[in-house]
Amino acid sequence: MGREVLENTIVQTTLRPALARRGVFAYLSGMNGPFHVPATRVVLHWLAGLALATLAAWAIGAVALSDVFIWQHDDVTGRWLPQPNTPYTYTREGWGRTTWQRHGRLAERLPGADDPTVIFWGDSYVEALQVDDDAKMFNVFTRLAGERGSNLCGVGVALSGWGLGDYHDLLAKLDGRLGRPVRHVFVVQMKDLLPRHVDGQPIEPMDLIPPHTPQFVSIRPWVYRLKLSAFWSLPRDAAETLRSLRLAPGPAGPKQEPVCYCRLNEADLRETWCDMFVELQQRAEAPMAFVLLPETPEIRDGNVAFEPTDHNSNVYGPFVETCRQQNVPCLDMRERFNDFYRRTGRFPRGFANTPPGTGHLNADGHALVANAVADWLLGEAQNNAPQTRTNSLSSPRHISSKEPFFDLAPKERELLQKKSIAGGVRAFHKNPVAAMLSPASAVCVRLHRQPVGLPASPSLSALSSPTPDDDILPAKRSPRNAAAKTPSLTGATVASSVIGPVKSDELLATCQQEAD
Amino acid sequence: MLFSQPVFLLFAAAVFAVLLTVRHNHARKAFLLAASYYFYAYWDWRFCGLLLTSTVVDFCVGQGLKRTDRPGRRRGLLAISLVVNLGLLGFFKYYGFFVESAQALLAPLGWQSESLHIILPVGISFYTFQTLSYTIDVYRRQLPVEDSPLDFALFVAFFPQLVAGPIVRASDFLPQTKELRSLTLRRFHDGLRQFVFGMFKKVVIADHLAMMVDVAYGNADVFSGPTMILATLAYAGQIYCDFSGYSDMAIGVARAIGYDFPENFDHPYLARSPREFWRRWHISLSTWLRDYLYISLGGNRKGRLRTQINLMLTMLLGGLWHGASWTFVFWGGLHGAALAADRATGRQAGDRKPGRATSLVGWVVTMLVVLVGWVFFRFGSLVISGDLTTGEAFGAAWRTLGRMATLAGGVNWPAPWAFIGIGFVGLTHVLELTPLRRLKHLRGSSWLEAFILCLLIWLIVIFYPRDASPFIYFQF
Repeated sequence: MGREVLENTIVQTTLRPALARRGVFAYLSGMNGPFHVPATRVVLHWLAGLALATLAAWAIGAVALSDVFIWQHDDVTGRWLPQPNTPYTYTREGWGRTTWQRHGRLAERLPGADDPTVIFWGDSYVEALQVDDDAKMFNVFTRLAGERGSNLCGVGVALSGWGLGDYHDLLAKLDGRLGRPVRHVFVVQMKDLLPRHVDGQPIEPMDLIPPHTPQFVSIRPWVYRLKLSAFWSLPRDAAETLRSLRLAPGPAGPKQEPVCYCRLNEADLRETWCDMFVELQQRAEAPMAFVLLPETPEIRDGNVAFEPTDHNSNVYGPFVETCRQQNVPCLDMRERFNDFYRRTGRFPRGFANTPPGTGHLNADGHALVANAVADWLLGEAQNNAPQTRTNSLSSPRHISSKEPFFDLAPKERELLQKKSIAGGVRAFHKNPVAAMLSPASAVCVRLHRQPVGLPASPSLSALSSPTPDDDILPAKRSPRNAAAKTPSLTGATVASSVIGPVKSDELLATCQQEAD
Repeated sequence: MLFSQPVFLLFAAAVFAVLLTVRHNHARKAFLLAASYYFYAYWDWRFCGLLLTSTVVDFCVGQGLKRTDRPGRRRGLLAISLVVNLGLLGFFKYYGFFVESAQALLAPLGWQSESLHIILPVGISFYTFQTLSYTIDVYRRQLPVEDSPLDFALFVAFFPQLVAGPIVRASDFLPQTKELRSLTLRRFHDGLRQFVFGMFKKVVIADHLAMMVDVAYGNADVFSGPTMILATLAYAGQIYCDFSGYSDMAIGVARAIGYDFPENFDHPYLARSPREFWRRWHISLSTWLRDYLYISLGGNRKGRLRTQINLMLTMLLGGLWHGASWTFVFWGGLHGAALAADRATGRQAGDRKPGRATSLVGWVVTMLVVLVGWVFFRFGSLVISGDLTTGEAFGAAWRTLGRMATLAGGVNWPAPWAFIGIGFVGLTHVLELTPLRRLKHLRGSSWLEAFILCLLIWLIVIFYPRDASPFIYFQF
């Protein structure tokens, strides 16, 4: 009875006049076959069906899709960060839940001010949305440390897209909020240590300290709470689709490749890395270390490849070597990852819903990194064999957090200070990687001729596999890159060794301009 | 312009809107012809000339056949059509294949030739077969000659079936052009329903299955036997959802704008014999091959041995039609052999209705043949895309079959989407055996239909892949 009244009301007041005007009502009323029922009922059925379907889509989206981030401005870091203490589910790659603490920190248990900590700095690889919190490397590390009788606590500071510039910036801002760091571990891939355009991106200033404001900040909490992920990206996708719409007949022109492979000089790179070590170490009051994540093992051309081939990897060897020369600990994960695959047949990267061996680290990969760091740090502690205070974790409380970790020669320190004041390294402060091509870096790299780190510990050398000579830049093998053998220390002449093919002269000129 | 791309939805909506306003049949057909040429030119305008050539030649041949009764002249006209159509098809699709095959054969004798890199015009295999069907039917006097160039041009270029079928016969389509097709809400509704079903199969199932299949088959030696079995099942689901999804979309669009196409798929994985499989799989192609190739070769009229040979020849050529690679020929030969064996055993069994056990055994054997065939078919695609040579493809296919048979070790990848996709295909087939099969003929008045259709649309939108892959059959 009630339904009939409702139907009649709708029909009399709105539907019938509107539909009749458009001729649709005639269709519905005069239809045989599937529409032999009264038109009003058809309309009501479709409205009900649409409502139910929307409800079902919402439920599916709530279960199967990633959460929308709620961004919150953090005054300490001056950045927009995911709202703390809010679990975010991510399903696009792997399936994990991540909860940030304040200031972009990630840890199951935040340390007290005096608790010794190992800080894992990184981008999406440390953030690790793909795995649950308890499987992330820093939390695994904390558990491993506990099992081995250490009170060291792993803390992650990470967000997708961050780079060395961000770590450099945050090292100062988070001082005192990360417990008492005994190590700063920078988890990087080779491409993080190269100018971004080598990775196929256009040359543009990398705004690693982004002033950007996330969109729809005020709506996001509602979307998150109501689990509206299914409908969240629709307007943006629709707009994007309309923007990229082509109506003209084909063939469509080739896609503009924003690629500019610039020429890099191996010597410049090496020295700029040295410079980066100096800059980072100046900020980091505890010793630092690098964890280098390789691309291997990966499935490539129908085989499992254990050696990197990507052009970024051509500088793998030089980086590891530079670290060794500078006595900056570098955990090269290649052998561990490869051994793991050989032993288990499993890859440290990839998930059930993505191809094996690609993408971010899975739980195995995180455990391998955590184990490597634990073996190195805690192994040293147990062996009690470190030669220097910074490698000693047997009595971490004796390390003065205010003491400089490395000693520059007084003359060099003075020079560095002058350069800093003069702004010579300002570019590096803002963006160390981009600065690799700038004249400033060329000046900077002259600052240190002596190793800036500390003697490598015996256990470390066992962990980081030496790179065979033939892993060095192809410049040493390729006749066209023969010029690379002559290192150039002037940043303006950045054209002696080629890491990637030069795509276009025009773009190259742009690169050169950028470099100048 | 893929049917699953937003630009096609806009295009189809615009076409439908214009058709609603045009009440004159000729004007409608002219508009549809222009829209069809635009649709083809959207891919590459330079190949519209091929379409036009095919249209003009076959129309003129038809007119010529109308004007003469002399067998010799009629045969000559038919030959012109065959030479032009098959010549174009042969040049654009098989030139490289034949040159490379000849080169491989004659290389020991020192013969060398440069192969051209020729772009395969989209849909050439389909519209060539369509126009040939017209010429052959007219030649056989099974179809009246079409006098309207507009109608004939529309038959060749009609956009819903232009690039990947179904292969619509002139006898099915041309009569529909003679009257103003009614654009009713019911037709629109039926067309939309089929389009949405098809798009769901393509976008949500096939494209997601492709993610696993592409990686697994691109690196088949790395993955374990069980993973390759899963990948092969996933590929069976992918190619079914991809092609039947495309056919559903084509049929749906055509129905919405007033034209009816024959169904192209009928739950092929329910087949209990190879013959039944080909009655359910790509029906428009299998009937074309039967009517224009198998019967032309003599069919079953010339004795048992000749019948088997005809079957084998038909399937070998059917395999070659799918792609210029020996792996496709082998795939066709495998099905040809299965059909021949089926015919032989079926003849022995006589007309007895098979029991449940026999049906089950038949289904298992048929599915094994089909799945083994898909392995070669998939590696054939890698030959077409230039990733493998023919020899490598055969080697990889045999090795993969060996790995699957021995459940060899390797990388395991239990991809969830593979299970979802295979489950979906299995469910739709099983439902067909139950009274619930009526769900696919949902009634417009039911809230359930509205719910299902709207939900499918939501799922398409939510799970629309970022990198939509082209339809598999576009390469054919």
